[in-house]
Amino acid sequence: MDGTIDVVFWIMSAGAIGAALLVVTVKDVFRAALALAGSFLAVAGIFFLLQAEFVAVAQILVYVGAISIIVAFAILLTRDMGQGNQTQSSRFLVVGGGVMAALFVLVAGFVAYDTAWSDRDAALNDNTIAVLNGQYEEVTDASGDIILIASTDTDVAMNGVFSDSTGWLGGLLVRDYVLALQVLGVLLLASIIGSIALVREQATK
Amino acid sequence: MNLENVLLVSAIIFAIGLYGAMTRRNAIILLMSIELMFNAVNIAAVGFSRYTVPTALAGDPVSVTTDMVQSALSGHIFALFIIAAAAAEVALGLALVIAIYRQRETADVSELDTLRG
Repeated sequence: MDGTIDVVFWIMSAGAIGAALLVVTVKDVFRAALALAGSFLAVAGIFFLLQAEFVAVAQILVYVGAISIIVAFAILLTRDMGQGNQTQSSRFLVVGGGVMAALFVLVAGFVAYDTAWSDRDAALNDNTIAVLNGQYEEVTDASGDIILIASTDTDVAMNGVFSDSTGWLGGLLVRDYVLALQVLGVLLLASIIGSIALVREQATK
Repeated sequence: MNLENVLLVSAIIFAIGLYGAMTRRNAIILLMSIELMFNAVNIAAVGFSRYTVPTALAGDPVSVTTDMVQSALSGHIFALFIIAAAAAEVALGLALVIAIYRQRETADVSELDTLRG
C-alpha cells in the first residue's frame, strides 16, 4: 500500500515538474498555458495524496478551471503580437537564471533533508492519534470544557481532522479565520472591479 | 513519500517558476511562472500540515480539545488563502497585460521601459 502511494507520488511529481519545465521553455504561449493547466492538475493529485481533499478540489476549481481559462483568454486577446518580433532572452539571463534556480534547489533540498522534522506519528501519543483519525468522543471535563478522548468504538465519530478535513476547514473558516475570509472577499471584489476598469473600452476618446 | 520528498518537489517547482520569471520576456508567461511559484508554496504548506505536529499536540497533552485538533489544519488554511489571493493577482495582472497591449502593441516586458531614467 505504501509502495503504491510512493509510485503515484513520484508519477504526479514527475508530471508536475515536467509540465512546469514545458511552461518556461516552450516557445508557443498557448502551449505553455496548456502545460500550466497540466502542472496544476498534477499538483492537485499531490494534494489528494497528502490527505488534503478540499485543497485539491479548490485547486482544480480555481487553478485548472478558472485561472487557465483567463490565461487562455488573455493570450487570444494579445495573440497577434506575433512570435517573430519577440526579443530573445539574453544568454546571460538564461545562464544566470539557471544557476540561480539550481542553487535554490540545492539549498532548499539540503535544508529539507538535513532538518530533523518532527515525525507526526512518533510525536503523538495514542490518544491524540485516535482523535486526529476521528475515533473520539466529546466529554465535558471537571471545569466544563469539552475535551476529546479516544473512543474504542470506531463508529462513534468518523469526522477526523484528516479523514474528513472539509468539515473542520469549514468550521475554521467561519470561526477563527472569519476576518481573513471577509478581507479576502473584499480583495477579490476589488481585483475584479480593477480588472474591469483596466480593460474597459473607453467610450469617448 | 515523506516530508523531505514533498519539500524537494516543492523546491524544484519553485525554482522552475523562478527561472521562468527571470528569463522569459512575455508578460503572460511571466505571470504563469509566478503561478507556478504560488503552487510550490502550497505544496510545502500542505506537506507540513500533513507530516508535522503543532506544538499543542506534541508530546503527551493531558487533554485534546477541538482548538488543538484544528491547529493541525493551519497549512490547509494557508493554501486556500494563497489560492484565492493568486486568483485575484492573476485576474488583475492579465487585465494589466491586455491594457498595456492595447496602448503599446506589445506584451514584451523588456520593451516596457518608459520609467527607465
